[in-house]
Amino acid sequence: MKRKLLRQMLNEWRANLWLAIELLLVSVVMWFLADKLWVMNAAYNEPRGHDISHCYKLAVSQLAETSPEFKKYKDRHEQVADFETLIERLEARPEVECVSYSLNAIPYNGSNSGIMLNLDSISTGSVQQRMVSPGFIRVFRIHGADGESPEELARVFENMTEFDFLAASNLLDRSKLKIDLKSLYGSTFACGNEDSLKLVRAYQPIRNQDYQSSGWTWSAIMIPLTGSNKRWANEVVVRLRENMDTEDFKENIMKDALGPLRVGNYYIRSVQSLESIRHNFQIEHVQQIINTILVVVFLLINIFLGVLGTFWFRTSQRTSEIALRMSVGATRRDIFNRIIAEGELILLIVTPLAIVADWLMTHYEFNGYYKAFFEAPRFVGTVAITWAVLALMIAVGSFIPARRAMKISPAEALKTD
Amino acid sequence: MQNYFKQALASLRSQPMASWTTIAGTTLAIFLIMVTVMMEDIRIAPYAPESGRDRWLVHRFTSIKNNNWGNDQSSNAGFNTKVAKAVFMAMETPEAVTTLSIAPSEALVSMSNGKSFGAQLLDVDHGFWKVMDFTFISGTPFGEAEFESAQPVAVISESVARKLFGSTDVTGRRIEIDHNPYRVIGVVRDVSTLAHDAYADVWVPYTTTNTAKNKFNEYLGSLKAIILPHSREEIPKVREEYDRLWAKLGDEAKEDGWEFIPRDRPYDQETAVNTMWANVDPDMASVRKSQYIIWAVLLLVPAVNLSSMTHSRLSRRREEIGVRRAFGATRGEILTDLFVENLIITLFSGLLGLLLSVMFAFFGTSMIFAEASVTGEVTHLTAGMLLNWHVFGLALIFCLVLNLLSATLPAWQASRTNVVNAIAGKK
Repeated sequence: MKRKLLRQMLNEWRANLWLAIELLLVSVVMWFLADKLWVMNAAYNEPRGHDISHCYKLAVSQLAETSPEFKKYKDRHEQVADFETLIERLEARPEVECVSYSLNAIPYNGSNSGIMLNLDSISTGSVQQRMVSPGFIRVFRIHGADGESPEELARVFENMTEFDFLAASNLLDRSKLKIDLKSLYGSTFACGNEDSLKLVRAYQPIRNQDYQSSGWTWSAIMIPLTGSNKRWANEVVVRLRENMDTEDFKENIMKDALGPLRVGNYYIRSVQSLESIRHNFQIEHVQQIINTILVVVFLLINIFLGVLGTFWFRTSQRTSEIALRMSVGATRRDIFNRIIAEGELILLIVTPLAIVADWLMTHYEFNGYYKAFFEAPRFVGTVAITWAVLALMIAVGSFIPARRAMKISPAEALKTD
Repeated sequence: MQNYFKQALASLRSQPMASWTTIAGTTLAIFLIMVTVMMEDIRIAPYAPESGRDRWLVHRFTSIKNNNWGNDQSSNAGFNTKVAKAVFMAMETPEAVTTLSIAPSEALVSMSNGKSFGAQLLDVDHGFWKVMDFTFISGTPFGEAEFESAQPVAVISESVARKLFGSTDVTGRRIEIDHNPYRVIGVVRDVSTLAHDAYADVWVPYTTTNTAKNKFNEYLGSLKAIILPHSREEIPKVREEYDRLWAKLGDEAKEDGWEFIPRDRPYDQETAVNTMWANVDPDMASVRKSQYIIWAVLLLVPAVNLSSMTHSRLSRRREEIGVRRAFGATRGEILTDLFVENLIITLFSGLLGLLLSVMFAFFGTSMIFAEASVTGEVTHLTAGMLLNWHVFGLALIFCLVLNLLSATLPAWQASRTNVVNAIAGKK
C-alpha cells in the first residue's frame, strides 16, 4: 500500500512538486514566525524587576509665569518645600500606600539618558541613569540583588547622598569582565571629567519593556534625587492599597487637583495608570504580535487552499481509478485515508529540507535573540510546532476532497467512463 | 477584449473548485499585502491637515556633544528657542517653517464655572498654521504678532468647543489652560490621531507656556521643526540653506566646546517615521529590505499555490489549445491570450482584496493603526486617508507581479502543447 502510494505520487510528480515547494516555503516562514513568537513569549515571561500593579502616575507641572496664580519663589528651598508639601499630602491620603518622585525613571518611559562609569580599567559602557526618591523602590517593589526586600533597600537608599548610587546587578555584563559586583561595593567610580559616584549596593535589574530579553536590556543605576534637585522631578507615582484601588480614585484626585493638591506653583494635570502607560509604550510590540499572527493565518489559509485545490483536481481526475479500487475491495475508509496520507507524506518529505533551512537561519542569526541564538529546546519546540500546525492544515485541506472521493459510487463512475 | 472576459468567465465556470481557490488565494494575497502597505502609508501619505507630507523636511531631534564629555557620549533631544530663532525662523527659501513641541502633552482645560478635563495640548508657533492645512470652522489662526508678544490665545478643536460651550461659534470666549487664562481665537475640525505632527485638541503659542523655557543645555530643549518647501524640486535648495544655518550656529557653539552631530537631518517623512531613536542614524536600506522580504513572502507563497491551480485549469483545455494551434494560432498568441485571461481574474480578485483591506482597516482600526497614532487610540479615520494613487498603483503592481509569477509558467507549458496528441486526447 505504502509503495503503491509512493509510486503514484512519483507519477504525478509535477503537481506534487508544486505542493512540495509551497509546503517547504511555508514551513520555513512559519518556523521563523513561530521562533519569533517563542522569543517574545519567553522574554515576556522573564522577571521584570518591578511591580506596577495599583500604580498611578500623576503628571505634575509647575505654573507658567504668565499665570495669574504664579508664585515667585524667593529661593530653591521655598520651591522644594512646596513640592514636599504636595508629596506629603499625597502620602496622607488613606488609599495611598506609598509615593515616589523621579526624573524620567519610571518603567516604560522611553528615556535613555545615559552615563558612563569607570573604575581603574573597568568601564561600564553607557548605562541608564535614573534619579529617584527612596519611595521609588517601595512603589515599584524593587528587590536588592543580595536578597534585600524593597523596604530594606529603600532604607539603605534613604541614607545615601547624591554622590552615591545603586547599580543594577548586571552593571558589568557588557564589559564581559568576570568581576563580582559585590566586591566593588563601596568603590568610587569616575563619571565624566570631574564627577564621581560611590557604589553602595545592587538591585535586581529592571527591564525597560516586556518584550525584550534582559540580555538586551541596558544596565542602569539609581541616584538619589535629594535636596534642591527634587525640583527637577517630573513624575510622581502613587501605589494604592490593594483593597482601595477603585474606579473613582482618578476622579477624586482630579477634583482635589483644584483644591488641596494645588500647592504653590505645583498642580496635577492628569492621572494615568501605569498599566495604561505600559500599554501605550509597548504598542509597537503588540502590533508586531498581531502582524505575525495575521501572517501565520494567511499562510495557513494558503496551505488550506493549495491542498484543497490540488486534491480536488486530483480526485476528479482519478474518479474511475478510485471506483475501480473500490470495486475490487477497497473500503471507503481506505480511499479516504489514502488521500489524506498523500498530503502528509509530501510534508514528511519536505520537512528535513525545511529543518536544514531553519538551522541555517539560526546559524546566521536571522531570528530573534533570546539568551542565545540557539537553544535546543527552542529549536526542537519551534520545529515541532511548525510541523504539527502544517500537518493539521493539510488534513483539513484534503478532508473535503477525500470525503468526495469516499462517496464515489463505483458502479456509476465506471459506467460513465 | 470582450472575448477575453468571456473566456475568463467560461474558464472559471468549467472548474468551480479551482476557480474559487484561485480567486480566494489572490484576494487573500492582495488583501494582506495591502494591509501592510496601508499601515506604512498612513504614516507617510499626505492628508489634511498634514497635506504637505510628500515634500516635508522633518527635524525631530537634535544631537550634540561636548569636548568635556566622554568620547561615546552625546545628548539627543529637541532643540530650544535659541536654535529655533537661529536656524528655523531664519530660513527664507521654503514656503513655510514651523517649530513646535515634539509631542502633545496632556493639559488641564477648565472654565470658570468649574468644568474641567484633560486635553491634548500642542505648543506651536505661527508657522504651524502655514505648514499644516487645518479647516477653520470659526475664527482664525494666530499670527506672528500674537506669537512674538506671547498673547494667550488658543485654537481649539470642534469637539473641545462642544464639550466646553456646547457650540462651535465660540471665538473670543475665555478658557483656562493649566490655570492660565486664554482667549479662543479659532475653532478647527477635529484632527485624526494618525496625523502625528498636527494632532491635538488645543493649540497655543509656545511663547505662552513652559515649553519655550525648557532648556536641557545651551541648545537642547523640547522643540522640533517641520519645513515645507514650495515643491519637491526645491528640496536641495532648502537643505543647502538648512546646512548653512546649522554650520553658522555650529561655529558659534564651538567656542564653548559644543559640536552638533548632523545624522543626515532633516529627513523626508518616510525616513522620519522610520527613525525612531534620537541617537541613531537613519537606516532606510534595512527598513526597505525587511519590507521587501515581507512582500516577497506574501507574494511567493500564494504564487506557488495559484500557479498550481492555473496549471490544473489549463490542463483541462489541452484539446481547445490543440485545435487553436492546428488552425494556425502561434505559441505567442496562445501565451498572450492565456496570460491576459488570467490577468482579468487576478485584477478582479485584486480589487476584491483591496476592498477587503479597506474594510478591514475600518473594522480593525485599533488593531492595525494603533502604533501609528499619537495616543494609541485611532480617531477620525477616513477613506481619503487610506486610498490614494500610491495605494492603487501598488495594488496594481502587486497584481501584475502575482499574475506574472503564477500564470507565466503554466501558460508557457500549455502553449507548447503538442497539437496532434492534444487533439487526439493523449497525454
